[in-house]
Amino acid sequence: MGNSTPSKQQPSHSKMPLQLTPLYTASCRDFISDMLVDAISEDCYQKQILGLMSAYYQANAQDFAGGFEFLPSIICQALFPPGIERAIPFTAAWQFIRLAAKIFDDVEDGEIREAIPETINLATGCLFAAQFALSQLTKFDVSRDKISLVMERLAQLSLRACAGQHADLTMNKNYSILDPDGWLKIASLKSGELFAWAAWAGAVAASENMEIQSKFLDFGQHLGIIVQIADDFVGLWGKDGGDDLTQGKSSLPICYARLVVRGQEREILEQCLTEASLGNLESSQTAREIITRLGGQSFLISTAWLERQKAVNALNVLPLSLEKKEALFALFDNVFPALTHFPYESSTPLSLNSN
Amino acid sequence: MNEFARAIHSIYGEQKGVNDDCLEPLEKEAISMVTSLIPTNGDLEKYLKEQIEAGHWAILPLQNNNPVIQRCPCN
Repeated sequence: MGNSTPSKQQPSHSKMPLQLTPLYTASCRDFISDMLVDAISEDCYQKQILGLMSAYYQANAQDFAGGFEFLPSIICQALFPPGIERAIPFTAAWQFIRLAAKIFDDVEDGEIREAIPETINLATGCLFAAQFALSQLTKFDVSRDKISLVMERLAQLSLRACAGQHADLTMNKNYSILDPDGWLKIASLKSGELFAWAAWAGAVAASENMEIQSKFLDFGQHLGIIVQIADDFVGLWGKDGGDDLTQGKSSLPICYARLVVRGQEREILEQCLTEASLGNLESSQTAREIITRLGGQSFLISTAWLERQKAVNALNVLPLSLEKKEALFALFDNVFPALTHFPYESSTPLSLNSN
Repeated sequence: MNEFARAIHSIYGEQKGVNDDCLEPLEKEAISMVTSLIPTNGDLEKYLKEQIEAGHWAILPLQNNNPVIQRCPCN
């Protein structure tokens, strides 16, 4: 133990996620623009939504480059490339849902302080736009039954995401102590369920096989959880690290530290967390040091690894080529680049299906 | 996940008596992976810093609107 040196550390894998062509991503944007023009006669509102979406595209350029915001299309391309045009409405719906969730989240966190009623109205519009995007699947030769199924599933999983967000808000508001188990439950709901829908939708666009669709539901669930883990990692150790401390959030490293800390250090940690939430930067730094010393970084990295491994296990049984599997798993590494250096579970190497 | 958290903490030598029976096989694998790759002297932050400076690691995750976007140079 402890004898690893930097020079010995090599990445276990370094694949890039599947990439979509610029022509395809432009088609997605055109689809969104055209459907809004069709649906809304109010020019100003339509332009506001498109403007928000454009800003979102730019702010999340890395995510877009990695295929994160095109998740349904990426999945569809991996499974059945000829069907990728059919994935456009799914991806549009996913982007509207993501945008709405982001706006609502920013309002709830107090990060948006101006024009709040108008902002909420735009986010509400995005929710309906997602439904409208899916209704356009009739133009892509998708059956009414299938459209009904994907809309029903989106409504169901979105409701679960709202339930998760509600639990998160309530916990923070009441200064409740959350343990890692509780954190995982909330993360699974508020983020996992939506990502599960997006990955599942991509599989639905590509295949009628319900087992394949089900596996991608699992895959998306784990991807959504790892996004939350990454968010909490940055919230404590990122360049502006400590934001989660000053905001008094029950992030995963804080939940971890509260669970494992013992003795006098527990009192010091609690005092620092309280003072940090009141804006004391020195206490914030001390709390971060304690959490780091307790192994908080190891815990988050290994938890992220666990989620990736569960996704690997979900997809390993599918008849996908190793290259495509690795490209899909690279989505995880793109969210949490340190995972690039961690091997897959030794007992279950990626299967070498030749499809 | 709570037992897994306790087990990870035990790597740091400050908490003994974690019952492995409470862990899933995958969690045991994760702990084995962590213990083989990460120093146990508690100075993980220093280790990560060395890794990043040596160009081997990009530890920080990509996140929305976060200016700290580091791609792994190995990619």
